Amino acid sequence: MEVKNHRRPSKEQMAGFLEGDNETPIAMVNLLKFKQNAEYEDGRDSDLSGRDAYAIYAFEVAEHLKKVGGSFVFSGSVSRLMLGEVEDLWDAVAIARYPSRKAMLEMMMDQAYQESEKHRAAGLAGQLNIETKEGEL
Amino acid sequence: MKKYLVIAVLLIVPFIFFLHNSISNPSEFATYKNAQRPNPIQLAGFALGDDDPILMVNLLKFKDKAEYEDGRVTSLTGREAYEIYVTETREHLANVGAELILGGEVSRLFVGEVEELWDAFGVARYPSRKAMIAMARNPAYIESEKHRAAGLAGQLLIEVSEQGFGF
Repeated sequence: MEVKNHRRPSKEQMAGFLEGDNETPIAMVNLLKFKQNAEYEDGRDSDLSGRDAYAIYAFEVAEHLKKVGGSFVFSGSVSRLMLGEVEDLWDAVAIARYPSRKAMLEMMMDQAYQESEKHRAAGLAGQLNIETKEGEL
Repeated sequence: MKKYLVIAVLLIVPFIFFLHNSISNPSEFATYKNAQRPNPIQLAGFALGDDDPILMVNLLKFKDKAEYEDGRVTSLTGREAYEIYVTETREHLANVGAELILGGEVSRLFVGEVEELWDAFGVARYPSRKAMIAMARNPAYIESEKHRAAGLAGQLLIEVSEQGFGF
C-alpha cells in the first residue's frame, strides 16, 4: 500500500475539515518527516537543520494552542517501527488536542500563528496529520 | 445557524486563499504495510535498545468480522474483539507501570495521503522496554492478546522516545 507525506492539506481535505461536526474535541496525530536543511519560503539564509526549524515552530505553537484552548499531549523522536513496514519512516510524532475543529481553524487563521508556521514549512519535508476522536479505544 | 454560516465563510475564504498560494506536495509515494506481529529483526532491535521510557503509537486497522486463531465461533466484529483486548490490557499495562495515555477513532486524514486509512489509534507509555517485554510474556496478557489477533487486520506500531524532541 502507498503513503505520501504532504506539507499542507489539499482543497478536498480542507473542504472535508469544514464539513460536519465542528464543535467536539479532536486529537491531531502528526507523523513528521523533516528536511535535512531548513529552507525558508521567503528565501532567508539559514544554517538550521529541518528539525531545528520545526522545533522553533513547535515551541511557538504551544502558545498559539493555549490561546484557542488546545494543548500538546506529547511529542517525541521516532526510534523504530516495531510492527509493520514503512519505506520512509517518519522522524517524529506529535499529538495535539483541540477543543474543536473550529478552534484549530481559529489558530491557523491567526496572524501570529502564520508567522510561526514559516518555521514549520521551512523544516518539514512532509507529514501525515490524522484527525482523531478520543474515546474508548 | 445563519450567523454560524457567515462566520464559517469568513473563516474559510482567507484560508483557502492562503492554501491556494501554498499548496505543496513535496514527497513521492512510499510503500507501507500493516502487520500483526513483529518480524525477527524488529524483535532483535527492540531487545537491543536502551532502557528509557518509551511511547508506543498504534495505528490500527480492524477486520470486518473477528476471527479467532483457535477457531471458536463468534459474532463479534473485529473492532469489538479488539475492544475486549483494550479493556483487559489496561490492567496488564498497570501491572508493569505502563498506561494508555490516549486513544480513539480515526476520523479522516487532514494532511497527506494513505491508500487505506487506519480505523483507530492508541498511545501507551511504558517505563522501559523491559516493562513491555514483561507484559508481553505474562500468560494473562497472552490470553487477552487472542482478542487482539482476532480483531486486528494489521497495524503500524511506532516506537517513540520522549527525549530528543521535547517541546
